[in-house]
Amino acid sequence: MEELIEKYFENTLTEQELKAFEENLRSNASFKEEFEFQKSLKQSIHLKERNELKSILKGFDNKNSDVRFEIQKNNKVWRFAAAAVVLILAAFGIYKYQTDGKNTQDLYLAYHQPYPNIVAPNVRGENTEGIKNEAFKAYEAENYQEAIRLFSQIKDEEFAIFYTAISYLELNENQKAIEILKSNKFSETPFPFETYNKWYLALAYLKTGQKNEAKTILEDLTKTDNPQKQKAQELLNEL
Amino acid sequence: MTEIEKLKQRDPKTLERLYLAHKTSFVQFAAKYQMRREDVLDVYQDAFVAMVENAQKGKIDDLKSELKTYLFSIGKYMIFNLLKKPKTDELINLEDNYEYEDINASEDLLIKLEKNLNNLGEQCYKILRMFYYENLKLNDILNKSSYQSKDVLKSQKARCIKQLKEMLQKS
Repeated sequence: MEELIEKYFENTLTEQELKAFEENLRSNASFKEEFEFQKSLKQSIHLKERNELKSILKGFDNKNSDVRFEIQKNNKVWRFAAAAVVLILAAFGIYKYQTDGKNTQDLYLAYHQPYPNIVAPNVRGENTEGIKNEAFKAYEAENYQEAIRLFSQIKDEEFAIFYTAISYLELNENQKAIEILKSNKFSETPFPFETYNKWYLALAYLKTGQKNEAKTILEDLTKTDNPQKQKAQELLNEL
Repeated sequence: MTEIEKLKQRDPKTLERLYLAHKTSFVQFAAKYQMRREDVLDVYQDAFVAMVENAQKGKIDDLKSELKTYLFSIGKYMIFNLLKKPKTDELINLEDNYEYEDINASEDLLIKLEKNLNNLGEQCYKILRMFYYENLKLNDILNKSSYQSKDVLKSQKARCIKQLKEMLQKS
């Protein structure tokens, strides 16, 4: 009798044994009771294991809580700062184009600013990824050559590719930036790079005078819900 | 040792590194679904737990995708469940490598059992864990331990269960 239950959990019941198992479950109360108990036992072990693991994970959060806080805070500050800068530049830009006419270079300057580091703000405390930190340090110090060198050492991370492209753009190596941004497919992944990848590609096209290419992308950005939707529309109106 | 092997052993360094490495991008990824930050973090932890559990059950030994991709699809699956959204093909395909039983943690018997498992001797818990959690067959457990025969192992397992039942009755 015990053997049938054992084999059930091992998933090794033959067809015949399965029939016997089901028959026992129907007609044999103590068999059913034993089986139900072991089922609960199985679940409770899972609960215990899951709870233990989850509290280990929470421990990582607490250990890094000042880092997390910094990231959140930085993120917010950056968003406001970025929004403010863009607004000021845009206002200045609009004023400027009204007075001396529009060209794509100017629009690029009006709308462009290097994308803030939202991945690894330089924080105190333990950090697991040295190169990543160094790369962003260089990026934030506007040392773009060094940033590119370091980002290229980080494999298989979409943010590294993205920031490499922005760095090229800052260095005025526009063609390289365009190539990277064009080829970067954000398959499974994280918002917000997909949006900003498009946004900067549009800006890079503007910078190199390719108005129609820029327009296509901006139109695309106005069609979906994303953080740059409004900005894309504004820029589009000016083209 | 591969990353998955290390996950199976719950190597603390590996857990911490992977957990922190993908956290920010998961939070950003989940931002699309308009959930509260606490919920997002909770889902991330649950997804991570599910990934480790499936590693320990040997279900992702032949995983073809990156661990990160796997982790994110579990997370997405859980978000869709939580928000009661219909599942996409991608998520339905995931179900091949992904069986994760939802357990009602508020059930009295389970709470009592879980508590008493902590008072069970180490040897007993080890056997029960291998059998019921890692889904190892008795023969596999025999190979991994020092019991002389399958019968000895079987009766040891039966004794452990009996002990647990007695503890339950007293509590």
